Amino acid sequence: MWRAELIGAWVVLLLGLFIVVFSIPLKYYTDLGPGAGFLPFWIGVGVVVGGVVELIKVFRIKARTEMGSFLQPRSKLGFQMLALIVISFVIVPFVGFSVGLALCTAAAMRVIGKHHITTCAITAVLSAVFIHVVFALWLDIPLPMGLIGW
Amino acid sequence: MELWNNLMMGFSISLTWENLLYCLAGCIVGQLVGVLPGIGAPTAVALLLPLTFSVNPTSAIILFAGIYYGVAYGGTITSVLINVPGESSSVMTCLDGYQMAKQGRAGAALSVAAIGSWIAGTLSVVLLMSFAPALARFALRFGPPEYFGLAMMAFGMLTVFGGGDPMKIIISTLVGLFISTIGLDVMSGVPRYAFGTPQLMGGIDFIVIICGIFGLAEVFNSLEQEEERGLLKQKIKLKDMFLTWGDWVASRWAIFRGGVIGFFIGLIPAGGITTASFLAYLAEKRVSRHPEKFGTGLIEGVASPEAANNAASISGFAPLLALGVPGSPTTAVMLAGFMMWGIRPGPLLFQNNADLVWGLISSKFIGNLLLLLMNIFLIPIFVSLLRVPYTILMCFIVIFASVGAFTTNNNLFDVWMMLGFGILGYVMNKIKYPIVPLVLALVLGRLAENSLRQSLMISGGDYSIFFTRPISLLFMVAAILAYLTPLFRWALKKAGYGKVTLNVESL
Repeated sequence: MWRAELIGAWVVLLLGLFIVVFSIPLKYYTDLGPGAGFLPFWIGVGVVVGGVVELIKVFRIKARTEMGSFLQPRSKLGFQMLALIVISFVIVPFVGFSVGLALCTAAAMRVIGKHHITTCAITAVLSAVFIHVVFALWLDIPLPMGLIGW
Repeated sequence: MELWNNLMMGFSISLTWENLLYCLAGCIVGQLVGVLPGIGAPTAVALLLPLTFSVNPTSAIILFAGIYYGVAYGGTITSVLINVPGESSSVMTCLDGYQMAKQGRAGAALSVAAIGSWIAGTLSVVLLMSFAPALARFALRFGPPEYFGLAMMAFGMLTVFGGGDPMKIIISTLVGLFISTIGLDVMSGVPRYAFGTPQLMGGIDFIVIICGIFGLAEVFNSLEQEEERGLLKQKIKLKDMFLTWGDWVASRWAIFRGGVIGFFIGLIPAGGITTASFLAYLAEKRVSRHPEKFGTGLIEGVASPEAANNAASISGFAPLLALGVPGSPTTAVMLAGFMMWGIRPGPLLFQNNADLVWGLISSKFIGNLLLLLMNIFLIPIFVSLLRVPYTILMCFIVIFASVGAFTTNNNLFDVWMMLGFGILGYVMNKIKYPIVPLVLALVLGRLAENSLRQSLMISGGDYSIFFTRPISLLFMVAAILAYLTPLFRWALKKAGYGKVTLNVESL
């Protein structure tokens, strides 16, 4: 966790620098008053200062090994879910929103929940019908249809 | 008399069949969300918000209000029966509620929580009715410097009530402010941090962010935690739900005190319902004749925090409606809803949208009554919901979050963006950067920036404008004191006054 805190502090510092650097081309002050770059510049400065303070705090931690680990035994499940969501978003333009998310549901139930394959299949079909009927038909949301029209 | 007429007008709106159904639906969803660990009120409102684009704003806000205070009721069930708070606002209820359940008094614990919530909720609505219009009249005097001061005070209060590392709270607030600056600058029309991406020109939609940072991040975080659902094998009969005279005598003042504390904490921007329940529990322990018995199953230990969290969930609407400043993450999400429906909360809301305001306020009487009945007669049904596998719930969160993000602009770019914010929320949670300041800053960012720039235009660049107007001065002083609170705490700790924080461990 110490390393995660260290990386976090560096990311904050770099984000602050990014905000400051890209606020410079924006006008800081105009004839009327503060310009578009005024607040972003000071936000950036604040984030940089925050990042530096966090870095100092991280380096001053003595009991680094007692902070625990960023990854927990069950973190794998979160990453599996993330992978399934990414895959479903990638296939949505081809299979449609309803089918894409229904497949994600089935896969998540099987891989993460360890449910029986029949339960997963039934839930997937019901999910696809639910998404299509509620969102596409009832609420009239123009969800991507994909190649099969769902 | 005017108050009475307004209330009657409100009832004529909230008692229509359509609004009654929305109120009932909100209460049921809120109760469910409260019961199910791993999903909170902001998430529920965020996920449902995009689906109310076409709904009448009054009905939609009645629905969301029902969810908000329904959660405060529902969170009690898991606190009492499995010692896991369904909501952070029910953490304190675990201490005595679970002990009562172990002693075979789960029914009494749930009952006093429901009755206490109802009494405090009703008291809070009555106070809100008198307080919110007065606050709105007061806020009519606000100009840009006052609004900037108010926003600063709201951000500052996060360091007082946020309960985490103050520097991380400040960083999180600044990041939220930064995200709010992305897109075309409202005043000059200059694009900021969009890098030529058309989807970023209009800024990042708030709904996309909250669907990710609350919805998806909660999925990743919940999957990581061990499921601990050791439901007490205790049958709760209807007769167990009725309080004895002794229970009533022991809890009546606790309910009253909790209600009053909750009401006032709810009024403070960023005060929040969790803080209200913490403070009410602390206060009850302090005034008790037997403080050593707290945590062993005292009925006052359940009545007070439950009354406080419900009262705060209702009074939290006062700053939102009267000032346009949200007091909690859920009301921050609701503020985004108001903007989505083209309504600007603030002092003029009471004049321009009186039907919405009074329809909402009157619906709280109805919603509280519905929840009281649900919590006495339908407890076994809600308890059975604890057996629903989390995987199914999780998949539905993903579906609602994805559809919600998609509906904002009908493109998949926003869905990917939502996923990015989900990962950000997960990482922030892991390394203990609080999410609430980011969300609050995101919502108030435009208001803060515009009022800052307008103020400096009025004064010709003179910063003393924030300290020479009385109301603005008051807000700025409160903000400065709030930012200095961590230093005060540190100094007190150094001086040997112990740990002055709002942690459960410190109780």
